Amino acid sequence: MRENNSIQYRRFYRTMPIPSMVVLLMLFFVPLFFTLSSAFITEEGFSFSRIISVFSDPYTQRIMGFTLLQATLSTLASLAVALPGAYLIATYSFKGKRMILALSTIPFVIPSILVVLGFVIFFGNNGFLNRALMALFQLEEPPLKILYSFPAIILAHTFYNFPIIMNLVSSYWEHMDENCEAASWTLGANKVRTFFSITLPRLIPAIVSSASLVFLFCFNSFAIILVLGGGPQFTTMEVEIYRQARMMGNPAAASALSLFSILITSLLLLWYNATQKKLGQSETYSTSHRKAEKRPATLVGSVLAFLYTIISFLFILGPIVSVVVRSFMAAPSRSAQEVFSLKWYRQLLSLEHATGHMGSALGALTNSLLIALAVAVLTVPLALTLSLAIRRKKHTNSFLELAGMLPMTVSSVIIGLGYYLIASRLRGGLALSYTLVVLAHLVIAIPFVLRTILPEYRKIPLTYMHSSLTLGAGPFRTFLSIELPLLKGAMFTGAIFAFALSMGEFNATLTLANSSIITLPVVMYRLIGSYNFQGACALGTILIAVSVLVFIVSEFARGGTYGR
Amino acid sequence: MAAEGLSCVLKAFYKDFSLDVSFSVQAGELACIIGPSGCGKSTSLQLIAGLLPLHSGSLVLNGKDLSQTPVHQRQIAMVFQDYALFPHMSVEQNIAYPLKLRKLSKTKRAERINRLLSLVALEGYQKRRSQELSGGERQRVALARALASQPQLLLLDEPLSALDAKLRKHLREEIRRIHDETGITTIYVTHDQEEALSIADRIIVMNEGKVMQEGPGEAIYSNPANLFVATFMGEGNILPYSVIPKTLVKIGSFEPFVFKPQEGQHTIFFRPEEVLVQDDASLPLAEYLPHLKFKDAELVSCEFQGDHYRLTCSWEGHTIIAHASHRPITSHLTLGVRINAFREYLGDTLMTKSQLPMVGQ
Repeated sequence: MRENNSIQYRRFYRTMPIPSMVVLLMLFFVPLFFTLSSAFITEEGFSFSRIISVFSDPYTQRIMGFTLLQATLSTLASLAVALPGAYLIATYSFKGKRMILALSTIPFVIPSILVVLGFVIFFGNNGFLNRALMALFQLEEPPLKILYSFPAIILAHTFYNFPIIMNLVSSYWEHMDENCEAASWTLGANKVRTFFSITLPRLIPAIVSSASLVFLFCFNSFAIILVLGGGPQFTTMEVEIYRQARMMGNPAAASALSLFSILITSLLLLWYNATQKKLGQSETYSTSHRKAEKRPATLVGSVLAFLYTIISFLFILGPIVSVVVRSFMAAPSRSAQEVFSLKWYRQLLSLEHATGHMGSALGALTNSLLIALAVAVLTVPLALTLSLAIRRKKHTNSFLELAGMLPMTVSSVIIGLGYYLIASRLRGGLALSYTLVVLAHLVIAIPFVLRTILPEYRKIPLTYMHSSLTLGAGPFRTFLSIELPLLKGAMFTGAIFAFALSMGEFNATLTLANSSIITLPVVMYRLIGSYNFQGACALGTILIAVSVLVFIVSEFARGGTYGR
Repeated sequence: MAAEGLSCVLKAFYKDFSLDVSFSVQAGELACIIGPSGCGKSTSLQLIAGLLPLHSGSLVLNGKDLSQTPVHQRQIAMVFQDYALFPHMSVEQNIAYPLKLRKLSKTKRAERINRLLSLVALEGYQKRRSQELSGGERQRVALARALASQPQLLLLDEPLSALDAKLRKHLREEIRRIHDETGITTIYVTHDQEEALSIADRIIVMNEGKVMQEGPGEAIYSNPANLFVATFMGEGNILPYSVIPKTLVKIGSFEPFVFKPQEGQHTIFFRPEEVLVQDDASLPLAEYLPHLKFKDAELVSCEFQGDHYRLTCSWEGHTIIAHASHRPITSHLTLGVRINAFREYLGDTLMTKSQLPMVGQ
């Protein structure tokens, strides 16, 4: 039978994403192939001997154990901080609630190296918190000595991750049909009983889902452990992969270790996807918010709400504000008090002779801006054409969508390792090295941009495209005049996300870069390492500005779609 | 095969549903496809438009085979259930979209847009955005946009289903008026039998992927080809054939023409408005021709419907629905149905005089 032309428009949608699919798979699988081959291929050829020797080493086993332990503890701590907040937000209306909700999106957009810096500046021995406490209680010694220790890791992870749980659980809670609770009361259960036998069980899917996400983040945490862990004593898989590859000169061992990380991350992602699916099925999501929003009935309730607001403000905003404040301070001489100064910005912009790593700051800034621009420009068309194909599938877990999310199964350190292994095989100048950085960032950014564009794409009814076709426009014309204009906003948001992600990307860059490659986060890391915190703060403030931009754009984008 | 108009044989097979229909629509005709949800009427429309692939069959429009033509070259416009107005364009830009594709000059476009907007009674709406329009207005803009492409055939997919009852009545008159003014061949899909009867030149009744009956509204209503069409296109009573010998009343020596019973499920069907209601035994049943007389029917319920009363009666275990002009004074009624008012079905198929010998013969 003749090839059926009447579905020509479908062929268009099938062929469009092929180039980007190929590019994505190349960018993802080639480095992964290099990583895995160096794990399995020894001098004698293919063998499991390296894997076996690495994993039978008690040192490796200790690291694996520690990685899981710190992730578990961090998740539990985040839950402990987040759930009371979720309860307050979902049940009561109080001053600052909207602010908390808005602020709680900050950890989604803030780069981890900034969290590290903010944490040091805020909680450090000479940090704002200690100084405030010392001034308040007239102490000689800083009362909090938590930097470079196990609690520091847990605390930083909690600060970084509790807003994720709070955000997800409270929004789920708010949209839950509250008539079930009312029904329970009319059946004779008191409020406590109702909470534990009705509300909590209904919340479990949301709690499990958000906690799995946090566990995944903590499992793959790199910058926080690298800086705050303070040495081999508190090392996780990610840090060990980096250490083996770049400091011990043993990339083969690093590759073997990656296997464990990839395995766990993939399992966690599959589990997370399953919980998300369950989340979608378990409640009939009421579209309106709970009607009976009420103020805290008791004084205790009001005080708790107030305290929670203050503390979460302090925890979320404190470190960030400290970074900005410190960047504008410098001591005129060694013994003098710090005063307001633009010294670090002058050094950053090379207006004044810069010392140490500050000398490379301006170069790092330009590099980062250029890399981020390239990543933003390249990622959007890739993600757009991918979502073109994915949107047509009704089931969210289609092959293509999974493929688009593939890079998430591999931590950014391992992506960096793959590109490092490629770089060590290739002979090329600086241009090649920077190209590899851009490609690595591209792989990391695509899933995020896909997640921005795809939901918007799914909102466009198919009948728009069908209308255009029946009115006489061909598939390509339809794509240009209907789909593209409708996705402008999402594409812009996606580009901004990709830009910010690339600007703050630290893990992969550090793992793959040789000393000649400098980006903003890498220089920040070196400045922290050489105890020039204020210089790092000046760079950090620029990253904060980028994050604020993303924050504003993403808040706007929420209301900016066509009223459909 | 008719040179003008549409004639199609649509065959498509899906996992849990297969469609096999053939019908034709004359040039300038407004045809309605009607059927319950899931009967394949929207699928048929998408097959005609080219949005779904035709697995086999043919599609000939004005003498041209379109079954292999891509959707955007078929010159078949479609108004979608949700109207699908492009939200990033104004009313004017929406209507201009097909005109631009036809490379009309700017002045010609403006002129066409004016004409189309006045055709759908929306003069001066050029600059409005689709979000600012009411449901009825969107529907008209969608219609104007479809007409702007000067299609050979216009498809309307349940165009009024998203609107409230009163607006629906008004807009279906408008659609009929616009159809008469433009004379464009139109297929209109609906699940509302009243809408279909009032608007269509011809009705195609579909069920489970098959055409059940095709013809003018009157014929379909009074001579339904099978019991599905009979009950889908309005209310009705279905009784076994055995009631005929029990209830047949002869007038004088005149032998009434009634079909003899046949083997199998032989049933009779009649509409409630054909039932004559006698609520006062002292008065004769207002009937002088041969009829079926249901004595001692019990009135079960009586609903006031505005212009008539809808009576549910029980007669020897059978339920009979009847329409009456007044509320019955007793609950013991006598019901009458003239013999030319009911239809007989063997199994599911309408029996015609030529198929059955009559009792009187």
